[in-house]
Amino acid sequence: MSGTLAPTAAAPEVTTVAATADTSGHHGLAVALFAVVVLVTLVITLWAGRRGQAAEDFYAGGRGFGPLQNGLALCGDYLSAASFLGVTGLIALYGYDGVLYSIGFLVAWLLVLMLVAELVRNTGRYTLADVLAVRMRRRQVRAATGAASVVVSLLYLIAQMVGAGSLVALLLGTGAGAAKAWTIVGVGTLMIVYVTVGGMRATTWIQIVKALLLLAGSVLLTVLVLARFHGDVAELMRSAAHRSGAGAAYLEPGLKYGGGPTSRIDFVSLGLALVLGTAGLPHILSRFYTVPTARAARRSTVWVIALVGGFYLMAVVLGLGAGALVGAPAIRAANPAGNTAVPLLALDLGGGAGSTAGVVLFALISAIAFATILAVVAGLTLASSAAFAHDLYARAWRRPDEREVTERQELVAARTAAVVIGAAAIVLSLFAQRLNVAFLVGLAFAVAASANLPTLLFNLFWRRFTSRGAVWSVYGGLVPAVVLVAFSPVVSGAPGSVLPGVDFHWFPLENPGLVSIPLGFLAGWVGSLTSREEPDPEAYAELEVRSLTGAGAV
Amino acid sequence: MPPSVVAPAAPAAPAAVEAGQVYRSVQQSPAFQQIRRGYRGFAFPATGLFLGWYLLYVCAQAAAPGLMRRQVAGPVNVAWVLGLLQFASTFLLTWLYARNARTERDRAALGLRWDTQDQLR
Repeated sequence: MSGTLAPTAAAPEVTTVAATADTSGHHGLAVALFAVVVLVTLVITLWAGRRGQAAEDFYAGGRGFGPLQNGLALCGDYLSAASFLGVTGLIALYGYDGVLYSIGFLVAWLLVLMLVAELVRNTGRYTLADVLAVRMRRRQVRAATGAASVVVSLLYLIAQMVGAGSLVALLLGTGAGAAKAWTIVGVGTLMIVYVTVGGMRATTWIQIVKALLLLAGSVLLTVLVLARFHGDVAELMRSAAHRSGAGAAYLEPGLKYGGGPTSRIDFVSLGLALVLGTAGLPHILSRFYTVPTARAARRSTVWVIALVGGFYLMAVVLGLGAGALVGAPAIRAANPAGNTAVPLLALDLGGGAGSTAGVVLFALISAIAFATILAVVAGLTLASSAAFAHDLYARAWRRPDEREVTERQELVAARTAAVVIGAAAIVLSLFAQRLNVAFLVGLAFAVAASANLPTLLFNLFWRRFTSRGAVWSVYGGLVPAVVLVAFSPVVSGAPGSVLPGVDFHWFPLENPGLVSIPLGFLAGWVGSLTSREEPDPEAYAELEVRSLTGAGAV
Repeated sequence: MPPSVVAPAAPAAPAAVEAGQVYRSVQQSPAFQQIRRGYRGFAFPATGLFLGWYLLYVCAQAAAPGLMRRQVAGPVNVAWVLGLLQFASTFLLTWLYARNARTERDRAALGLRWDTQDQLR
């Protein structure tokens, strides 16, 4: 960090921040707190791992969690470092457009609450494919949904790990490439340990602890920011706009997503993917199996909406506070995307530069961000290993005449898959370090919304949905999403592309959601109508009765 | 909810067919139809409402930037008001849905659950 901040030291308004960033004192404390976080999570893992080793424990944490506990854990899964640091940074730099971005993440939970949470809890066992298996007994259906789950989780996992690499390097003040690479390897190794040793129970407790830390840290900083402005939010908005350098435009739409017609349509596409994608994220869906009943699943979702909504409201204050107190030039100098806005804000609120309180607050907030990264990657690794072992290995890849896989064998496969997927994520993240994290998250949401959501909703609510429709809607969403990205400006033909120097793009948008989500729904509809097999009315009766009453739920 | 609304399944049929018939008969029972209506009658219109309202809000940034910039009070403009209303409507719909589920169908669903499981045994 010292290297990147050096040029800004000349600017008078940022000298305080730059000067403290140059001294490495507060990084020492941050490292110590990082070690504490690692130690605490490992203790939780060992403790949880001893409490049960059955499939129910590994995939669903024993199904004994309460609504508030699961609500906190869902928050832990959902409020990634991209939310805590990324969204606040966006608000600090782009004002209103950052707020606009965060709203989709909240509204998405209404879809989960109303159409997904209770019904999935009632009909499934461990994974998304289980919900389909109530009606569709063909192996191809499980293969398709299992594969889509692995792809979505892996994309999201790479996004988090790439983000982790640059974030930890920033927070520790080492801008060097080697530090980022070692961070990715370290974080990857830790997440493999959490999942293989502690399974869902450890992952859930880590999420709960992390969510509490994150919310407590946000409340503390929000109170400090509001106190600094004597509770006058209008004054906070004005001074953030004043120091942003953009003036009145800072509080209006268009500073980030207003570049032109294409850029505006691109934002609509992203907004659609965000609001529809959450309900198709495998690591979110599998959380509903950790509570005993559908009613508890609903109440945990209500908790999530309260907590996530409260968090994003605080994020508005934190982002504006960082813009007003730290200033856009200093934030940009530390990280062009604004990812360190909140830690810098903490430093300033504690008293800035050499003050003990500033250093402690900076280290605390950095450690919370680090805990956030660790918790989210653990949840993702677990979801993808569950989809691999439970859906693909133990069911989709078995011929009917083969002997069934025992629970013990399946769990060995799940733990092996966690190691292999974790290792693959480490390697892919090392190569993907050039990719923009926000884009990767947007892509994961787009694939979830295009492949998983149509299949899930058709399955739950449409009587005439068939196996062929299920397979078509998964691939009909997954393939266009991936192909459109391959021919978008993200990959080629723009200054920040993955492959600079070549230009084979023909799709103008960075996020494929606007096209691929309707295609996923369309494919499921056409596939069902054109299939020769008749939809089984008894299977749909079973699904409908089970989903709404909970009969036969595990 | 009276437990006798569901007709018992034919005792002579093999297990798998019998289960299918139990689910069919429960699905067609008035008690289940009422739960289903209670659920769909709220969840479907509400989903259409909040999705439409969110998409309208997102598209308004692209389609009507002039309107969004109009000042309302102090530094607050129409865009901020609509954004905060998104938060408010999300909280409100959550509360309404939870209340609807708790008062309209939780009890009936639980009764039908035990009833169905009894028949499946």
